[in-house]
Amino acid sequence: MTNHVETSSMTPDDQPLDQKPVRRQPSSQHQDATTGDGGSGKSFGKLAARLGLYVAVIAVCIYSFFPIYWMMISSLRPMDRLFLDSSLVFWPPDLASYTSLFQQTNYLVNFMNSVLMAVGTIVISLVLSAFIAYGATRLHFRGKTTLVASMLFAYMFPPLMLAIPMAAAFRWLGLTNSLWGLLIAHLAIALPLAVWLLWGFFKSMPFDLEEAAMVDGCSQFEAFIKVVLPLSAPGLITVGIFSFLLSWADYVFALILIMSDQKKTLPVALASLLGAHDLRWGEVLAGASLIALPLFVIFIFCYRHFVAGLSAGALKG
Amino acid sequence: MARISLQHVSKSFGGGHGPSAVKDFCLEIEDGELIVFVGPSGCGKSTTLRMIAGLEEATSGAILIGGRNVTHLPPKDRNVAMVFQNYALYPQKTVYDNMAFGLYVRGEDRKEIDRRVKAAAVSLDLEALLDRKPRQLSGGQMQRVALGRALVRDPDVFLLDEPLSNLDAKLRVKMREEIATLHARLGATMIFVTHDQVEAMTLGDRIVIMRDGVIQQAGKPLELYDRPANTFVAGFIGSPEMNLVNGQLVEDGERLAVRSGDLTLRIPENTFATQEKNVTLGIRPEHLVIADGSPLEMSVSLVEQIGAQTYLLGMIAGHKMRAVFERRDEIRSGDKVPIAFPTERLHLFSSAGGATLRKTEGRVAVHAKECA
Ligand SMILES: Nc1ncnc2c1ncn2[C@@H]1O[C@H](COP(=O)(O)OP(=O)(O)OP(=O)(O)O)[C@@H](O)[C@H]1O
Ligand SMILES: [Mg+2]
Repeated sequence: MTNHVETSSMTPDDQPLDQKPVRRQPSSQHQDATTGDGGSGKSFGKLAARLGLYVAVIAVCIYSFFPIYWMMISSLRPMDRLFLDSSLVFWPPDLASYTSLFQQTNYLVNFMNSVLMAVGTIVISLVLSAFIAYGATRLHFRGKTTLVASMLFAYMFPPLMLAIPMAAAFRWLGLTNSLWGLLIAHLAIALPLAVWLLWGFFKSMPFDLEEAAMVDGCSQFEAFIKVVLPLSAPGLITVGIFSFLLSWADYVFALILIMSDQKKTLPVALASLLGAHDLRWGEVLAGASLIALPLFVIFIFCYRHFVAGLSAGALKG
Repeated sequence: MARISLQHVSKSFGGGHGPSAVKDFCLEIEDGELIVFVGPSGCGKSTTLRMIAGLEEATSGAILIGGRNVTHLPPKDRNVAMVFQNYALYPQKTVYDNMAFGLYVRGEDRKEIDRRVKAAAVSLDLEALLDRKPRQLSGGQMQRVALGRALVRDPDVFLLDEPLSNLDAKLRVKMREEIATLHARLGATMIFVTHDQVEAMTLGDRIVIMRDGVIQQAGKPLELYDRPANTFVAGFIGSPEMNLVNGQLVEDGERLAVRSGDLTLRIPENTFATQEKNVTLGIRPEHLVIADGSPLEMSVSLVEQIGAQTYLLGMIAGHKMRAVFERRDEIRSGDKVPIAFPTERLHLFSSAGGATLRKTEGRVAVHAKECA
């Protein structure tokens, strides 16, 4: 990444400020090498350190991505060779596992359930957290920080400990085996983090801008919508991604709160394939690959925002 | 354009129970006047301005703009424009959109918006920058955009909170002149906050000097210079500061005089109230004169040459004083310079409280008691 920025020749107008520290790097290295008395030894040490770093990063990457790679490649293997063939690359891929998955299971229904939960969680958590977090930064009341921090209390428990009492409460509310109940559960875990992140974001935003907007003719609400929200895009994207991840990857809540096959979300539906009389690994791997797919898409397109939003919220929060 | 009337306006933070930032502020601002609020840091200038803008609610009192009571109206309904100290430009919008935003929000016609933004851009020399984002502008340019944003709105009142304080000295002077020109051209009511007395003196039709949330004096720049209402104003306006000496009122032959240690100075007749015994005598450094044969001498301890003038610091009859003269190249530190105090230039204040003892010459009071 850095190499790319160093060598590319952007005009100063395009890339103000943030380019400078990167540019300065090579020149300072150069200085080190020429002014130090053991010049060549030093630069060799640096090279070795850099090499070591690359090796370590690659090792970590292989370690964490190999199972995923294995999952994907296995889902494309002809089903009869699944346990015979262990080659890491092969051609042509075989989509039999996928066709079987779609024909013999409720995959599409379950997929839609998952999408519904994810979209619902994203939209509602974004809207609610934006208002709650904004209110928490701009209104004055005692114990504000404690209150916001205590929302994160829920993360101190394993999800199972929240899911079981929730199931009991939902039974009382008549939300047993209901996607609405599951949506509420997903919101319950997504919202605190969302509020926390946006709270940090809004806190770092100067009051002046809203005041300028209010003098310009906005009500406080309009100032929030027209001036504050557009500036909070990185934070909102981060919150959206987080909400999606929490909902999409949730297993525990869906397992406890949903019973009927028609209402299951993907992770639970997939797990129930494993529980059936024959182990249909091909379909399981294909299903798992499909679950992972959106995560990759998000990672590729949004990770810059993700990291930016995360560090902004964290540093200033 | 409109008159502004501030009637017994007070503000205390912390739900109205904290210490007050502004106390019983009374002021009538005429249509088209440029008023400058000046005073040391924390004296409540910004708070007062923000109450006029509607960004803070007054704890008590009333604010009228153009005869309309706006005390409890939100900022958007007051038709005021404000320029913030750090400009507060919308970072995601272009210069054009920054200026147009207030008009968009008010639902003005697109063509009219375009016309007004372009016109403001021309008058502020911003035409070439309309497509830029604020982060691509220099401080002076951002300042002009902030002014432009206020300008296009054609508001009843312009409020400017230390708009020049982030600029370097040269640019400050230039922008100060631009604001003065703008004011002359628009004839708009403006309130300008600063803690710089030169800015205050040069810009203001009238100056309001504040301390600890209380108006010390409101008046024309030269009124404040000639007849400061108290020792605080006397010290605040004018540079270097007025020399102040505590002493007693005594009889010196036929005339009254102030005595402090070895220094005895006659005071002009019928100018000051003379009931009080303990007084503070004031004289501006630039009003001291070099007079050969004068019994008083300054033993100079510091000479500062600033070009047109020569600043001296030294002791006169045991009192540390400053003096300013037309350029005198020959004076050196350690010299003794004969000095005279022109009687008609003396100021007299009460030692208790520091209020002026000057009689009010039949004129309306210089003092801030504007509210009945
Ligand atoms: N939001 C607030 N909450 C509590 N106190 C405040 C608040 N805003 C201002 N104050 C207090 O009110 C007083 C006046 O503040 P103000 O900002 O009006 O001063 P100022 O004259 O503008 O000073 P400066 O020249 O530094 O800008 C100060 O003592 C300040 O601490
Ligand atoms: Mg201020």
